[in-house]
Amino acid sequence: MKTIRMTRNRGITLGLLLIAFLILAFLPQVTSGYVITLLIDILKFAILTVAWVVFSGPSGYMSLATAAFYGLGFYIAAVFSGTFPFPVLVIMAGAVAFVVALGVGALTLRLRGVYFAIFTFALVLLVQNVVLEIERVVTETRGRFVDTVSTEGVYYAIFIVFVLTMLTAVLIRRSRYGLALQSIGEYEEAAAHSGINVVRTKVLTFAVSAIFMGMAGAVIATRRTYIDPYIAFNLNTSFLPVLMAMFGGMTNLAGPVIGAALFTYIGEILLTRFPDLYMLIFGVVLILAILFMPNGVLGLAQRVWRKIRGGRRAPA
Amino acid sequence: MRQRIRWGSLVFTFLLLVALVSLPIMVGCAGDDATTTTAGGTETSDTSMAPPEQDKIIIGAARPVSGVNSFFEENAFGPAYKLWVQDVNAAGGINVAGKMLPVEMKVYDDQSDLDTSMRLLTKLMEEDKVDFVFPPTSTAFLFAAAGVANAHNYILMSAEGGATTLEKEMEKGDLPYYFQALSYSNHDQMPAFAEILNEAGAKTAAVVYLDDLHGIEYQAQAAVFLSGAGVEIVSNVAIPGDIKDMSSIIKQIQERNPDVVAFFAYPPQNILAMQTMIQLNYNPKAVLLGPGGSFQFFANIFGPAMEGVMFEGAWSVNSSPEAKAYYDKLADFMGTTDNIDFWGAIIYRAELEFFQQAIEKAGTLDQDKIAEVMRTEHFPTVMSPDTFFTNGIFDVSSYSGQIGQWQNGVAEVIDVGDKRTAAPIYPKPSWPAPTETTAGQ
Amino acid sequence: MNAFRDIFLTGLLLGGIFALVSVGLSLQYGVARVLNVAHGEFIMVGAFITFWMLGSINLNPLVSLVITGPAVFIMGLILHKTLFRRLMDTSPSLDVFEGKSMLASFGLLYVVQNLARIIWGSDVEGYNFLNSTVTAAQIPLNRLVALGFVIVLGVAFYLFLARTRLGKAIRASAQSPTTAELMGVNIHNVLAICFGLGLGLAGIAGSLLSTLFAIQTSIGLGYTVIAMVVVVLGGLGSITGAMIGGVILGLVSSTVTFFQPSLTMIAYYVIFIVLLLSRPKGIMGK
Repeated sequence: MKTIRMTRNRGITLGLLLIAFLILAFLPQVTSGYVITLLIDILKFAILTVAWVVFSGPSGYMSLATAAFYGLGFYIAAVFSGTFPFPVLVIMAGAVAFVVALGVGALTLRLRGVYFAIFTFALVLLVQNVVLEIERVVTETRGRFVDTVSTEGVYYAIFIVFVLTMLTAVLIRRSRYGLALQSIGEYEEAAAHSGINVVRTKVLTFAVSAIFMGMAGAVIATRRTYIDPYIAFNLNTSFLPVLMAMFGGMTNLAGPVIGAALFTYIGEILLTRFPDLYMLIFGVVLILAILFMPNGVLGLAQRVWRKIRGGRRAPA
Repeated sequence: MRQRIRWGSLVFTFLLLVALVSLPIMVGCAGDDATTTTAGGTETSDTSMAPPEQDKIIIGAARPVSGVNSFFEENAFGPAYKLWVQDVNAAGGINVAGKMLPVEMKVYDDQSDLDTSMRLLTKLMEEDKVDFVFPPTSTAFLFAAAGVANAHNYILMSAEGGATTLEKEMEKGDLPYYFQALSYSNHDQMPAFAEILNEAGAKTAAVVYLDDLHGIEYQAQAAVFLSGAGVEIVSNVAIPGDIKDMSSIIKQIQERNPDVVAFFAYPPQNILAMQTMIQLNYNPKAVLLGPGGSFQFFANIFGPAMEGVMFEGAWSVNSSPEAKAYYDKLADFMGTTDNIDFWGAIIYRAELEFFQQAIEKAGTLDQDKIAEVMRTEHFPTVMSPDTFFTNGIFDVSSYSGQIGQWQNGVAEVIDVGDKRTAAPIYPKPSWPAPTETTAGQ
Repeated sequence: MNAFRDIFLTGLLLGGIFALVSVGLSLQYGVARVLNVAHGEFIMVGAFITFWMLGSINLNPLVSLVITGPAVFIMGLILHKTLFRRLMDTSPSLDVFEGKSMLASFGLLYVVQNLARIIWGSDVEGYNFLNSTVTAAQIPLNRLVALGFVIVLGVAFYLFLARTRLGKAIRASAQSPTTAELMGVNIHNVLAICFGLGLGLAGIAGSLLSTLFAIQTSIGLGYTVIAMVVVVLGGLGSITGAMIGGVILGLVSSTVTFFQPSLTMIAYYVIFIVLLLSRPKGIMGK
C-alpha cells in the first residue's frame, strides 16, 4: 500500500519536474527581456548553491572558494574571448576549475572545520590579488573586455549548465560517494576506519562541484562587457550560495534551488521597492531566518505541510 | 542525521517554487500592458514634431545607494541629478515639441554590485520601459553599462568614471549611444599637467599609483606627457588599495628628491600619503593628488597644509559667475560645502543641461534623434558657453579646466591659458608645523 | 642600516595596529566560539563614535576610548544574550553553532553597516591627530600611541585572565564549557561577557584607528579580513598569539612595501596560506 503511494507521488514529482523543465526550456520563445534576465541570475545562483551543497552539505566542510572557481571561469571566457567558440569556452572553464580544485583539495586535506573555511576565504583574496598584479605587470591594465553573447544564448547556456548540475548532484547523492561524504560529515575517523577512501571522496567531489562553478562563471562573463579581478573574484559570490543554501534548507536538493530562487526574487522586490533600506532589511531577514528556520524554507514548508495533512487527518 | 522526506511535502514546495517563478512573468505581463502607453522613447512616430502623448519623462538609474560606492550617490552625480530634476520641474519641465514634460526619477539600489547593477539597468529598460537611463557609478560599471545600454539603443552619458580603454571600443563604432562626460587623462588632464610643470620649470617627478584602472592609466599617460615636456620620472611605484603604511615609499622618494610627486590614487591612500609627508616633513615643490584631492572635505581635513597642493579636476568658483552661482546652489541643496567636488560637480551639471537642450532641440524622445543632436550640436552650459562632444567625448575646450590647486582654502584652476583663475604657487609652501587636532567636519 | 631600522620600526608599529584590530576577534572566537564576520563593523562604529564626539563636543580621541569601549561592550552583551545564546541553545553541536553564528554575524554585518550609513552617511572622514614624529628615527607619534595602547591592553587582559575570578572562569570555559558549568560557572554569562569584551576591544581599536586612517562606513570588512588573517596566524583564541601574529604581519608588510609595495597584499595571503597549511592551529596553537 505504502509503496504504491510512493510511486504515485514520485510520478507526480517527476511530472512536475518535467513541466518545470519544459516551461524553463521554452520560456524564451514566449517572452523576452527582463524575465529572462532575472531567470539567468536565479539559475546562476541555483547552480552555485547546488554545486556548493554537493560537497559542503553532507561533508560539513564549509567551502568559501566558490568565488575562486567562478572567477576562474570569468577569466577563461575573457582571455580566450574571440579565439574559441562560446561552448568551448564554457567546457574549458569547467575543466580548468576541476584541475585547480583537485590541487586545492589535495592541499587542504589537513584542515578541518573553521580552518578550512578561512583557508578557502583567503584563497579567493590571494587569487584576486595575484591576477590583479599579473594584469598590472603583463597587460598593463586592470580589466578586460569580453565579447557578449545574446541574452537568449546566455539563458540556454546557463539552463543547460543548471540541468547538468542538478543531474550530477542527484547522481552523486545516490552513488556511494554521496553516502561516503555523509559519513565523513558525521565522523571522519570512523568513516576512514570503515574502509572509505576519505581523501579520494573529498577531493573528487570538491573538484566535481567546482566544474559547475567554473562553467557558470564562463557563461555569466559574456553578460559583462568588461570584467576585472574585483568583479570576477568577488567575496559575495562565495558567501551568497552559503546563505542561499541555509535559507532554502539543505536536507534535500530542492532546498538550495528554492533558496537561490527566493533569495534572488525577494531581493529583487525589496531592492526596487525600498532601495534605501534594502540591505538593512536583508540583514534582519537573514538573522531571523537563521534563528527561526533552522532547516530553511524547505524545513518550514515541511512543517506546514505536516500540519495541513495532520489537520486533514484529524477529523477522519 | 539524514532526514527522510515525505514526497508530498516535496511536491508542495515544488509547486511553491513554480508559483514563485511564474509570478514575475505575470507581473511582467501586467506591467507591459500598463506601460506601453507611456513608452514614448521608442514609439514616437517619424513626424517628430508632434508632441509625445505621455505627460512626463521617466529617467531610470541603478545607483549605489548602499555599499562601497555609496559615497558617490550621496555626493557626486547623486546630488547633481536630483538638483537638476528639481530645477527642471520648477521650470515646468522639458519642452518636447511644445509640450512641457516634467521629469521623474526611478532609482534602484545596485548595492555597489556589478551583477545587480546590470540586472536593474536591464529591468529599467526592458520592464519599466523608462524613457532614458542615467549611468551607474565607477568605471567598471560604466563600461558594462555602456554595452548594455547600447544593446538596448539607449543613450548613456558617463558620470563618475571613464577611462581611455573605452575609447578604443568607441572608435570601433560599437558604442554609438555612449557619451563620455568626465575628462580623460590623455586628451585633457595629463597634457595640462605637463604644461603647468613645464611653465614652472620642474625637471623631475615621482609617481605613486594605485594598482587599479585609474592609477595604471594615469601613470602611463603621465609618463608620455611629462617626458614630452622635459620632466623626467625618477620613481614610479604601484601601491595596493589596502596599504596601511607609506613611510618607506615616501622616504625612498625623498632620497631621489624629485621636484614633483604625483599620487594617482583614491582618498584613503591620498589621505595616508599626505599624513606621511607631513609627518616626515618632506616638502617637494609640487604635490598632485588624484580623485578625492578635488573635494572640499580633503582641504578641510588638512587645513593650511593643503596650501599649494594640486589636484585632478578642475573648476573654481572663480571660473565664471555661472560656476559661482551653481556652487552656491549646490551647497545649499547638499546642506554643506564639504562634499563639493572641484572635478566632477560642474561636469555632471553641464552634461545634464546639455542633455536637456539636446532633447528640446530634437523635439522628440527618440533616442537616435537625440543622440544625433548630441553628436553634432553645441549648447551653452554652466561649464562653458560652447559645450560640445567630439567623437563622443566632451571636447577639451568645453571644460572649465584640468588641473586645480588649493590656495587659501579655495580651489583654483591653474591650467596654462585662459581657463586659469589664479597663478600657480610653485614651489608650494612647506607643511605648517603640526598643530593640535583639527576636525574634518 | 637605516633602511633596516626603518623596516623594523615601521613593521613593529604596523604590527601593533594589526594586533589591535585582531585581539577582539580572538577573544570572541576563542571563548564564545563566534567567528564574527561583523567584527570590523564594530571597529567602524568605534571610529565613528570617536569622530562624531570630536566634531560635536571636541572630545580628545584618546579620552573617547573610555566611552566607545564600554558602549560597544554593552552592544556585544545584548547581542549575545539575544542572538547567539539562542543559536547556541538550538544547535545540536558546536560545529553547527560555529557555522550558524558565522552566518548570523553576516546578517549583523549588513545591519550594522547600513544603520551606520543611514546615521553617518557614506563620506570619507578624517582628522589630524598627533601627526608628527619623535626621535631621529622619525617614529610617527600617533602610531606610537596606538602601539602603547595595544601593549597596555594586552598586559591588562593577561592579568585579568590570570588573576581575577572572572578571568579564571573565562579560561575554564574556553577549555571545556561543560566542565566549567559543572564547577558552577554561569557559562552563558561568561560567554556573553567574553563576546562583549571582544566587541569592546573592537570599539577601542576603532577609536585609535580613526587617529591614523581615513574612515568611511564601508571600511569594516577590510579590517575583518586583516583580523582573521592575524588571528589564524597566531592561533584562534590566543591573545598572545594575536599579538605575535600582528607583529609578524606588520613586519612582512613593511618589508614587502619597502621593496615592492604592490606585492604587499599577495605577501599577506601567501604567508597566511603557507602558515595555515604547515601549522593549521597557528603559531601559539596547541
